[in-house]
Amino acid sequence: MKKIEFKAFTIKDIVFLAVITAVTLLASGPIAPLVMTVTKLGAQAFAMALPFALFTSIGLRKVEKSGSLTVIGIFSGLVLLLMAPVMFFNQLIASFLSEAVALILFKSYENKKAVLFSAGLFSFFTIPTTAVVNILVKGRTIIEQIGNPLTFILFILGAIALGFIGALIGNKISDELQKAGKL
Amino acid sequence: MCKKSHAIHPILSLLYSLLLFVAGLLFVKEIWFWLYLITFLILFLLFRFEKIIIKTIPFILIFGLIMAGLTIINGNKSDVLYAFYRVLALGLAAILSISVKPINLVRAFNQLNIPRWISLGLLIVIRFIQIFREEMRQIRQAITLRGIRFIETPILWGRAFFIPLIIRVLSISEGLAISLETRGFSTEVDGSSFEIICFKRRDLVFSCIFIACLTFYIYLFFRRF
Repeated sequence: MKKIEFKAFTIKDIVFLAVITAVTLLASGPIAPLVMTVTKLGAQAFAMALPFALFTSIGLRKVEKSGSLTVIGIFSGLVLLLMAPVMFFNQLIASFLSEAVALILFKSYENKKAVLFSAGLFSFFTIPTTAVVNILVKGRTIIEQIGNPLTFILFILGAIALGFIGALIGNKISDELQKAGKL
Repeated sequence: MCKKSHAIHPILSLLYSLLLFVAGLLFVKEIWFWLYLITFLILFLLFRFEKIIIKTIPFILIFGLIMAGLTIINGNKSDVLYAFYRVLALGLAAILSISVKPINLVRAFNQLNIPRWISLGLLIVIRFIQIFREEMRQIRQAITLRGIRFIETPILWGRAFFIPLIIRVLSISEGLAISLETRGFSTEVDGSSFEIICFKRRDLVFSCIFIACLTFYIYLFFRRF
């Protein structure tokens, strides 16, 4: 049975992951402030799903090492720590969970499905962390956060769907770049 | 050598920013929320954060009004007010964290023996956000000049935007990696700092006043239970 392999990151990997994180944050920049203080659970994940999945999937295709998504999560979390401190935990936990699920299922990022799952579910996994933070910090019950159940389900399905669409687009771009010998 | 500056220690700034953010969100529904805001604003003014406060105010006001406006759609009067207050709490916490110079944060991380790749990555992300903003502007300009419009041909627009952007990401990151490697940067070797970030008397005074004020408001908050 194939095991999950952990290889050391080189300076080249770290630089690429940091640069792709910068582009991801920049691409989600116009949307982020609008949804940052929305009280409905899932709204942030829904809004961030597409840009995050698109760029992180390209990052994972280039650096196919276990832990790459968590590294992206740490970098984006550290930058967001300067704006909204709670976002650090949100990014870190979501990236770790999503990477863990993808690697348990597919073992390595050499399998494109692992990239699709890992990048696609990144935003979705921010929902549980946001819920816990809202309970602890704002004292809002889970029922209050969910509000209308139908809207909540739509937000969750939307976050998953947009995440997978973003990851698919990212994979397609990566395929093209790989064909051209750039990636 | 210790660097002389008016800034508060970067790690303390981040820690206090986190505390202010959490406390701010907790206190949003209290009648004394304004007093809480004013207390810390005065503290920041005393410790010469006035430039950052002036820079932050327009953004916070505009952002706060947008958030309040969005809350009007499915909220009552108090929800609108709380949405505005939440942005104010966020802005108050942001004053401290924005004051942190990325390079000083990296130096402080190095002193705390935080792995080199984390501090290096953080510095690259912060630096390259500005660089890629310009890159994206230039790519969009080129797309416009070629007459490609997102509304008419979204797929073509996407290709024309993302492919050059990723090519730039690849070429910039490769150049940067080579440049770092030739300068002796490595993920395996510990880094050293040219300047040392010290815990100064100013930090101690700020910490004492900050903790005293925060403790007072936490006491006010829990007194009602």
